[in-house]
Amino acid sequence: MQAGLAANLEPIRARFLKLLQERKAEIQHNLEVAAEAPDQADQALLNIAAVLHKIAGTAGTLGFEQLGTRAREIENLILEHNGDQSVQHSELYPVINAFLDQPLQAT
Amino acid sequence: MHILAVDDDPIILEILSAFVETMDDHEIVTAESVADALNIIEHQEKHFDCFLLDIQMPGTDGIEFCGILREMNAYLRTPIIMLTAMSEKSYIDKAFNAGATDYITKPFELNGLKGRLSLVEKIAIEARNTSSKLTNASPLRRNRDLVQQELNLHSPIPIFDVDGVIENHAMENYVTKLSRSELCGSVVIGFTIRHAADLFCNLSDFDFSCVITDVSEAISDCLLPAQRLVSYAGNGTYVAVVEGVTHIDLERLVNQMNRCIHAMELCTSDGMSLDVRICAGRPNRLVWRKGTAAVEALREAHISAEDAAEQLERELSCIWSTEMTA
Repeated sequence: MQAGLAANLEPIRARFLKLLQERKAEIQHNLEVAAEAPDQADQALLNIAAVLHKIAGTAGTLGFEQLGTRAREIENLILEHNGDQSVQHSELYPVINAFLDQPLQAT
Repeated sequence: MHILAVDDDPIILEILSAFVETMDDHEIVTAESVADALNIIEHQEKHFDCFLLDIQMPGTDGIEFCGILREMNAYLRTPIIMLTAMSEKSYIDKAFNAGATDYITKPFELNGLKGRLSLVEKIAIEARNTSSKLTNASPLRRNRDLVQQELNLHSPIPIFDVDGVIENHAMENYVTKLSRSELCGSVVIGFTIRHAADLFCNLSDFDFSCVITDVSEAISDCLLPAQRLVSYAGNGTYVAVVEGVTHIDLERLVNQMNRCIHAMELCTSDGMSLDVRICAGRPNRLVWRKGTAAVEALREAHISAEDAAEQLERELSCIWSTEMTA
């Protein structure tokens, strides 16, 4: 089963990586919205959390554990800060930016 | 097994399809939303043996869908495995309360999923037999139709349509799934119907299963407002996992349950009144018990409740005994 499964998963990994670029572009777009329009920042950050949620759900199974773990951490960070007025949104931006720049490592 | 997977992430669906393709004994159909899944169920002639459901999806979520499936006679007992990134206890509680059989958090190991699928295969076969008996049966007829299969005193009987009551195998998966810290504030308590064996011998299978269902409702309702899940473990005994209680006045709780059962005015199909009472075992805190140790705590609660019932009978018989003197 293992060899057959690995062969079956290979094209899915390729599609995941292609989709990852689109998902990163979506995060980037929402990050820009959040930075430029503070009144839309809450929603933009929730959009980012939703994209990170999807990355975190599949990355580990496809062998990108580090990427998935980081996506989950940032998703949780955004959700914890959501609605908390004492936290500046701008504190989250460098963290999200670093995620976008994070080199991809397969495990 | 014929599996239906529902997830709004196409990559997950592709992974599941690729995974199932490598196994000879399973086949999979996928849907990207609950609406799609319902459409597939409506038009697919072949019965599904297992569901893999994501929780967070646009529109109807996986927990709501789980409840919808449990309303369908065809899928009353079919294994439902939640496959989700939501690892918080509140989601786990809601999913099992809605009728989930098992709960796997993403990202998941494919070998782990294979193991879970083989574990639910036996349940899937039983569920298929159940659903074939229940085609078009109304909820009121479900129990009657179900007990056409022979009951065994010591085996768990499935209980339907009682809030907070889940199947026994789901209860084991529930406590196995929770982490040590999540179980820390939980207590497991066993409750047993006194003279359950006599009731089982004297009642028809249908009447016995009605008593089991009614008593489960009394136990579940009386544990409110605490977060609780109850399952029937067989032999007239239930186990309940109750969260967030610092102190339990067990005597008052059992009295309340017995009053509730009394108020139900239980009787047989031919109108004979039944005097059903329960007693409880020693509450057992699930502090630092996880996985198989938590399942062991369920078993201990079961034994403790039955020991308490025996002890009670011994004490009652002693009231009227007189000391033998020469």
